[in-house]
Amino acid sequence: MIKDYLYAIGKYLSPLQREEVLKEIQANLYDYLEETFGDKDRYEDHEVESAILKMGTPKKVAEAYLDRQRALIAPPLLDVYFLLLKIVIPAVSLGLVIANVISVNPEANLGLLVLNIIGQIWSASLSVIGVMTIIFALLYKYLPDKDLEFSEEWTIKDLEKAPEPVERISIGETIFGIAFSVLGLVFFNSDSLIVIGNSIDYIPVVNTAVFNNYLPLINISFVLSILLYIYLLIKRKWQISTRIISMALDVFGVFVFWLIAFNPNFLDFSKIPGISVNDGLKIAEGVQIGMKIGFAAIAILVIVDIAKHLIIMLKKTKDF
Amino acid sequence: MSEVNEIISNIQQEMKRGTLVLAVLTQMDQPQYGYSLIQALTDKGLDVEQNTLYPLLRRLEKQGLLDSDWDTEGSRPRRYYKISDIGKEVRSLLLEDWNRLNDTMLKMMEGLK
Repeated sequence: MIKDYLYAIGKYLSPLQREEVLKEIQANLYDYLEETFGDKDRYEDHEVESAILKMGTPKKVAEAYLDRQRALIAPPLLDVYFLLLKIVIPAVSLGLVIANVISVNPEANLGLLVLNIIGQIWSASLSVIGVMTIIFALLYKYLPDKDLEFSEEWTIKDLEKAPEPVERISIGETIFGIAFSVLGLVFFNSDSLIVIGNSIDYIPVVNTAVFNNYLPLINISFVLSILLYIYLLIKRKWQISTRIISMALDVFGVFVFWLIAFNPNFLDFSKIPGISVNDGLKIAEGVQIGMKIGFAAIAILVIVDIAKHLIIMLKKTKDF
Repeated sequence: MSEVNEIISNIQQEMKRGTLVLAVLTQMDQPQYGYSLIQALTDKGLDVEQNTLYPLLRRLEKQGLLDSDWDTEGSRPRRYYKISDIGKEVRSLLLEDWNRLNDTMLKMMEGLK
């Protein structure tokens, strides 16, 4: 019985301290037995049971010996973790649905398509949970303690400066940013979008060979944006460093979009049945003009965003 | 009433917890193993749960206030703890604080029923 009890306690202890702590608990149990029931070679079951009950439940006993509360994710970060899951999983699901619907074969079996989408969402959601958990576990392990929780020797200097109104992040914008980036990431990486089949069931308008050249840049842009948004959600404020990173990511994103919008080979309508090569080129030109207009609009938005960051940074420098 | 009793019980536990380290340090001039220390404290009127005391002994040892040794000569191994030199210094400072606190409390309790 004592062996079982020690084994149960051991499950809650770290491997490094397990042997030593269990040895001590065993000695304490026998001390209790000896003092209460006398020195014997073998104790009755009810005597052992009373000693164990007196000691407490395995979990409670083990927790009393733990130096630090066992947790995979820092308790102060739990809310951010769940909030992110609530944003990312629906965004991934939406991205997969859009990608599937765009590439759908009009004669496809609808039931199979739905099952396929559910399967993709399930496996993507599991991946998202896994990756997020790893990121947050690493944050807990490697972020300095004072960033997450105050140690007992904290001083007033440890208090982080509360953000002024202009430094506060907008939760709505951040959530939208994460959702948009995740959606983009899923959408652009979805096989169904970039595969140009020979089948007439698909309407391939993107030149895969050209698109694949840009895909790593698109992915870098989205992943870095997601990481920045997660950091902003944790810090709950803009800092000079995050403003600079955000501006750099804006410029990088516009640069990638520029590469795509101004590449005449990016779109290819010639594979659409019934459209000649010349007509395909004309349509592509038209769409390309639309993309250039879109590029101009996004460039203006980015310039406004960068100007906003710069003005706030300049004001802050003047205040010093 | 049960709510009041719970509040009282919590406050009593906190008071006991606050005095436990000093109480333990006063009993460690002679080597003590876990259960003998529980008895020593109980004999003097301080009831402590095993689950509170044993981990505390390990923590005090980690902090350098206690030294420990496994005695393997008896029929079963037993870990003995004894106050260290640092522990004695700490204890002496804590006792000064305790006496000051005691004087302060006595002054504050004057006239109370």
